[in-house]
Amino acid sequence: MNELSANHFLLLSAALFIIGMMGVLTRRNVIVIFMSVELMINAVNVAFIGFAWEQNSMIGQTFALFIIAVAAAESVLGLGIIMALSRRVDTVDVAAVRELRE
Amino acid sequence: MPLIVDLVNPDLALMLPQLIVLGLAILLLVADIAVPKARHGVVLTWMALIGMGAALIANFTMVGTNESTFNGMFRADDFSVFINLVVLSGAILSIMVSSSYLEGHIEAGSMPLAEYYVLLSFSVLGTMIVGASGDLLMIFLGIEMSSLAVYALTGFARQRVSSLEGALKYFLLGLFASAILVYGMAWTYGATGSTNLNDIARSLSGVVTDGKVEASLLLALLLLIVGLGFKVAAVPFHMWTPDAYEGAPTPVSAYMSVIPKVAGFAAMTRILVQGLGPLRDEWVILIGVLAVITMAFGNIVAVSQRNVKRMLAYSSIGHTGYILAGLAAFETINPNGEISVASVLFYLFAYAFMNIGAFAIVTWLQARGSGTDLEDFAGLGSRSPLAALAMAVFMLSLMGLPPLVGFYGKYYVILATIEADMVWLAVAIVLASAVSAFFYLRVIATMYFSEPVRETPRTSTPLLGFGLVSMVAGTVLLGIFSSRVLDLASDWVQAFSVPI
Amino acid sequence: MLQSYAIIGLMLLTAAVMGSSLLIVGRLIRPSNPNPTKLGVYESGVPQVSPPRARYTPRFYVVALLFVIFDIEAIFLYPWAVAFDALGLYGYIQAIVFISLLLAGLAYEWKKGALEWV
Repeated sequence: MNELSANHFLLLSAALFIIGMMGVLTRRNVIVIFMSVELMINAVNVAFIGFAWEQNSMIGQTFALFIIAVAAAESVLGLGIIMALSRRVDTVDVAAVRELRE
Repeated sequence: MPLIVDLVNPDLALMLPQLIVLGLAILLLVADIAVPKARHGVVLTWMALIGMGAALIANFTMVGTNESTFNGMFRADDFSVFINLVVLSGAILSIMVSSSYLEGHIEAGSMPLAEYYVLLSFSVLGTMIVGASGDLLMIFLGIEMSSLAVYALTGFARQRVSSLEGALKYFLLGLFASAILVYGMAWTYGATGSTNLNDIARSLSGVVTDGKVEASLLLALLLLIVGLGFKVAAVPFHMWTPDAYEGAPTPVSAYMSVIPKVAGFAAMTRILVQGLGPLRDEWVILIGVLAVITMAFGNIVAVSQRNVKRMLAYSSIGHTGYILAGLAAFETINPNGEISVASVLFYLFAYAFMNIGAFAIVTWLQARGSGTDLEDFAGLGSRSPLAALAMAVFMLSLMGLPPLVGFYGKYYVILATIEADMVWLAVAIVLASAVSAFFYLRVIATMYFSEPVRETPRTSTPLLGFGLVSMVAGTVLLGIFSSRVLDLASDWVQAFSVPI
Repeated sequence: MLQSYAIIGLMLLTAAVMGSSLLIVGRLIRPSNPNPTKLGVYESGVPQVSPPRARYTPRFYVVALLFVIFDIEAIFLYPWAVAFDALGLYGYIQAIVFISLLLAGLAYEWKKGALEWV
């Protein structure tokens, strides 16, 4: 039990994933939601690294590298959209943006 | 850790359609800078059309291949060929719909054509990669490429808050879905030790024989289905759909109602059927229940919509339900007479023509100064009979009236569900279609039996007109030759047979 | 496992006790004499003239966004650098293709005026 095992990685990753998910579901600030999703994605990276470490294979690490790159592209696009929107409405509260409700 | 350097020379010929679309995207970027602004409209639109057409032709030369390259990451097989066919046809039709909208100053502010076509090409490329992937990594990258470009396209009318708002909602939920999906991939990798779909299937076929499935695999399965459910807009993961469809510029709504959905279903089929096929007993029931909720919710809520774009959004949720039903009818990868996946592929192809067509008519009206409410269709039958006739064809096809293609789509799905002894699914499809008749027929009734409230000014949109003619022709002809198309789609069995 | 966590817990406890005891002792023995000048942000400096949370111009964000993309691309070059010998000429050519695509993207940005500091 003293040894580091894959379970430790998975527990950490599950905890981070749940924290991120709670953030997405409960917060109203777009930036905070965004950061929460990034937390979820990084939790996935931890899981991949843990599995790769357990199985002694490179696949999981490679996958994590690609996830990092995709997450960067996503954050750039997302911040671009938020910037374009904040020029028009001057708020970062998702609840305030509701022109499109039925 | 061992350093594995296995550099097989990649067989680039297998990637010809994808490489053509990639080349097109890069050429469009160059042309954006090189071609003078005044000539962008003609040059870029034709470049995009010719490029997509060339990829479509290249795709036909691939029929019957069943090979993989890049260590099994990339596959050229009958499944990918059919997905390419759907995606490229959808892309060509969307480009025809887009050009008049973008140049017609329907939205405030400028809509840079070059960036629009570049984003569209990258999204098409991503979807084609999903169809051709033999590995979870490729599926993830393809889906992200496909949806990232569409998030940007949704917010393309930068002067309009509703467009940006739709983009923001689509983006946040899409990102959330990606995180869940990729977490599912991580657990799949952890449970099976591989990200290659055929290897996953091989390692699972031994595990499942005793009828007990590990908890970690079930967790992976649930996460994958939830993540992909968001991407295809299945209820209860559909929250972004109406806002994104209504907010986006109409040609983008047309595009995103089809191509990202194709990406989602291609990923679902690749993962669930090819990779997790041995777990069939576990996921079939989940997908089946999801299908029933989705078709019921989409069609019932669509009844109360007064905005046509919003109505089409809910109707597209309903169609997601029908397609999911086709997937739920999967039994085994069986060379004789298993049509579940073939019915999914056929439905996607049919859906591309009729749904882009319906949005194209909305675009056609907007190009003539009209809005997107149901009232704007009043008296269209007497104002412009041809447009009204085209809209009637699309509505009847979406409703599922023979001999139009929409009928055959539903027919094959129902056939697949009955073959799989899932009569309850077939009954649900028939009931949902009956509900859907109400709002599709209401559009037709408004067009033909309401007094026109305004005149339709004469505006020349030749490319959009040609696109509409081809979509009407496609909706009718694909219905008549449906068995030929289904034969092509039925070759998916060859693609998914795992060499052991 | 529990034993190793106990060590970490002991460390956390020590840190907490030391930090809080220093703060409490300081509070007990220091003189307390608040007045408006003393409570200013800079006790002996120039008073502030504008709100401290000034809004940055969006151009900073644009540059930051462009930087993030190029920054992240570097992670693909590290594995290549580690395996440089094993990958040989083939890997070298692929890396060159990768870098030249990035350069093309940079050229596009430049030409479109995204790098202009207007």
